[in-house]
Amino acid sequence: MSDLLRIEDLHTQFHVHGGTVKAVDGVNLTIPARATVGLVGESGSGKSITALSIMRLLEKNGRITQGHVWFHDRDLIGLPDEEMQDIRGNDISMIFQEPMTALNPVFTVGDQIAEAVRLHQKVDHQAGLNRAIEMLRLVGISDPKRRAGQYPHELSGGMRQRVMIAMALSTSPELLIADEPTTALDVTIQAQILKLMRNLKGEFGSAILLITHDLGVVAEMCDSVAVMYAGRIVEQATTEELFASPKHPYTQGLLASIPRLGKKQERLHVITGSVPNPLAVPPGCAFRPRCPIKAPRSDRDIPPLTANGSAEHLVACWQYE
Amino acid sequence: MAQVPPLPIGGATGGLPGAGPGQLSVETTVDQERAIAQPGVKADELAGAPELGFWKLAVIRFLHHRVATGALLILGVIVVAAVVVPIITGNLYSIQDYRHPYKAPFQSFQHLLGTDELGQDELARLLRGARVSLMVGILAVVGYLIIGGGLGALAGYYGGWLDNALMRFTDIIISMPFLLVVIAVTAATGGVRLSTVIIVIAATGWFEIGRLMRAQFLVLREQEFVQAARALGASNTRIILRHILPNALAPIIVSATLGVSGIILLEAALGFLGYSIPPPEPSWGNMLQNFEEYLLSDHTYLVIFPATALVITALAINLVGDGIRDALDPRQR
Amino acid sequence: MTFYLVRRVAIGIFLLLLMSAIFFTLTRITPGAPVSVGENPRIHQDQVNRRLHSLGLTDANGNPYSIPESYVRYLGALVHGNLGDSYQYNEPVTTLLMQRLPNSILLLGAALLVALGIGIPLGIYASTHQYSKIDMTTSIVSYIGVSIPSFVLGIYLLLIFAVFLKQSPLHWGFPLFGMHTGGVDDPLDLLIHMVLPVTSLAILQIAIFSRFMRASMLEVLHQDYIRTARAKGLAVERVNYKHALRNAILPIITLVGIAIPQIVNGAIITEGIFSWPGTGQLAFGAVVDRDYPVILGVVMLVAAGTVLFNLIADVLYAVADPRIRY
Repeated sequence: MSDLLRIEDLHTQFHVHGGTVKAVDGVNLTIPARATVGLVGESGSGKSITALSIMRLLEKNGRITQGHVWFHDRDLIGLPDEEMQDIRGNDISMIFQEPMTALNPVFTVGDQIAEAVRLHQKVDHQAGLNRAIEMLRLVGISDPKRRAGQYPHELSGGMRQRVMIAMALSTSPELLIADEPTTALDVTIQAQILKLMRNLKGEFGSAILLITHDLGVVAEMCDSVAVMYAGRIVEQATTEELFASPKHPYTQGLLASIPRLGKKQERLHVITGSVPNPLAVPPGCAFRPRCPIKAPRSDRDIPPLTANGSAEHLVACWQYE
Repeated sequence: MAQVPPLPIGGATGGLPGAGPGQLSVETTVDQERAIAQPGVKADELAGAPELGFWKLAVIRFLHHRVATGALLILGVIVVAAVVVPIITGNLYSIQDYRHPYKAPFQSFQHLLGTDELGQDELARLLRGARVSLMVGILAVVGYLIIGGGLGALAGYYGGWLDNALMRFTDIIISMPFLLVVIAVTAATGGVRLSTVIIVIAATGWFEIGRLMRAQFLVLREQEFVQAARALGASNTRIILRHILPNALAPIIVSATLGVSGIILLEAALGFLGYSIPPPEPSWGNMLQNFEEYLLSDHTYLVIFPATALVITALAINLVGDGIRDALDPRQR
Repeated sequence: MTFYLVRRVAIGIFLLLLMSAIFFTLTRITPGAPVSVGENPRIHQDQVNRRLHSLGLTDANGNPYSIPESYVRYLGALVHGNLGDSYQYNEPVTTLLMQRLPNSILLLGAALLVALGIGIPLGIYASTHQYSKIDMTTSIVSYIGVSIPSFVLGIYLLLIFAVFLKQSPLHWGFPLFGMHTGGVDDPLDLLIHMVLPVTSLAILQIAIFSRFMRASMLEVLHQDYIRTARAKGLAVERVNYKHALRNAILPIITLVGIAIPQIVNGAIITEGIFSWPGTGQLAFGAVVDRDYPVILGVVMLVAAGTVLFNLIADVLYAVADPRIRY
């Protein structure tokens, strides 16, 4: 499989009152064409910032300080703004966590979808609107013609997320970045949206970078998965491999904290402590304060992400040195 | 009723933009600042530490704000001069030096800022006027706090008809030209005594603080710590005074501070129209009453001094108020 | 919508009645106020009585009406467009108001348009160029702007343009205290006379509008849907001027509704300072001379105008914002 997107040593920093936050601190990640890759981590682990860095949509105080994002053979990081705009929404689309606030309240949903189509496919207003209606039908919205003329506040949360998906896929992008697409939705709606994404992926052939904190979603959707902690990827493997034999203590902790049906457990595992203060990350391995193993070198040096077992299974922990 | 979104200006509880759940907050909270101040100590452990309490932190933050601190110094000088100097100079402001009317400023130490058409010392009158301005400003704001704070708190806490009546009444008064209302009421009550002016301003201007207090109480009465106090059997009075009020204070303090400058300007306008303290007692407003005469006869300093004193004072108070706002709510800005 | 409008108009009328009652009562309980008109010792008591009667204060026998009685009479006359007679001008208040209203509308309208025309673009620019020199300057100037009351500003303007620059070529012929002599027949003269009063009224509103617009834009620019629009591949300018502006400018409608009474507030003194023959100047004079029927008339006029403009602002808001339905 050819690589669609390759992130190399990406560093993204935020200047805040009181210091610099290294939100993304040397991330390497590859997304093959048509694959679904999961990016898992707690709030503040840097997974959303990684996605926004790919799209170059960081807030003003955020800056990509180092690294490359290769899309085919173009480095998105150095790209002029105009060329980046051509890629956004056209080759790479993104859907966000909050369907309630991600749509502009003063424009109809049809107009908002059509805007992307008109922009990238250079078609007229009517053609854009027709495409929007077609997309609304594809994402399973009944009476799409009427819905296209409605405003976001007239739609439910699940429907708005469908609209977001319709908007993102309307230009048939090669890569869809989905940042917690189901987190804000009811459980039943979540399942519907995930199913919809799977189906549409088959239809459009887009690769998906799925950002989530929900390992259940990963198991259901992803071919491979990367686990992020404090701005770095700590483990990466195919989904089956990761679930079958997690290597990093953090991944092990995450998996152990999922309640399982049919398996008798004394009590649910809890990872003690909390994510380090982003302004004062401890030296060495960021997970050390919470780590049950505390490998010898981890208090001084940051462990590199290296192959362990197979070439596909990467882990960053000194215990495997 | 129209659901008009609140205006973003001066909202005391503006949410942090761009920091939804699951995203890295790019602004630090008080907790984080504490964590920075004392690395290695968790915020929770420090929350009860008196040496870095909310108010102390606020003072520290205020003093770091250079412009606000400078404004506070200027304001301090004005207040001290207004309070102390007239005690020493006595009734100098009303002594008419018939030999020296319209004496130009910076010519002699006897009349440093010159004299007016009656030979009254301009500097002494300015300082005496500052007294009037500050007194009206402070007393009327106290009135705002008593009326607006009290009614706002009750309306926000109990809701119901009181709340409805208050909000509707506020709607009317806020939509009226304040100056006209005050003039009409002052005119109607026939008084140009200072006490009348203060009472009328307080009685017609408390609405903003009333609304603010109501909003604070509406939010706070639903908070867990209030529910907890209620569950423990605390009386309404105790809940209002001990649990909600201290937490509602921050925006009220800011609004009250800014209110003082608003009142000073209003009193000046009233004095200018002859509806505040009458001559010979000087106020910055009534010192400007004869501005046409001064301008036509080229005695511009008699216009410049009181007008500028007014603007500097109002500006200094506003800057201090904004400094307090920033100090109390570091998330703003 | 119709129901909402009817309800709003009904509330508006109720408010006007309430206010008129309050102010009417206040002017009547003032000790001796209307009598002072006839207190000149050289005037015969009969003349005073006739005068009081003609002012509608006493009945044909010279007995004063009670407050409720005279209020009802006042309202009855009000329905017929009669607000009573001015003590000072011996003319119906309605006539006085109608003579001067067009002048005020011209001045206030110009001030509002100037304020919107400068304040909004300035605020937008400041928000999209946050912390730039223009943003900083706008912030500082608007900060000072809100700390200067319009009457002080008016005096400063007179000082600068009509006194300091009197001998200089910069003095564009601003008369110190004049009214436009040629009226609408001489637009240039009118315009010259409008510059200073409009400036002194508009600066506060420019400060308010630009600050508000900046804050509103900044808030909108942090919304998720702005990121969505950027993620679609739209250029920054298009996101700013289409997606953000459309949302940020909505509350301005409400702000204009609030600004109108503020401008009227300023106009009372500004018109007086610049001798602009409008309703404000009339009020200014009436306030100084304690001409209660005129004060009451101006208050009622302004109150009615305020209620009307707030209603218009709310309706406009509902039209402009698809989220609002009545």
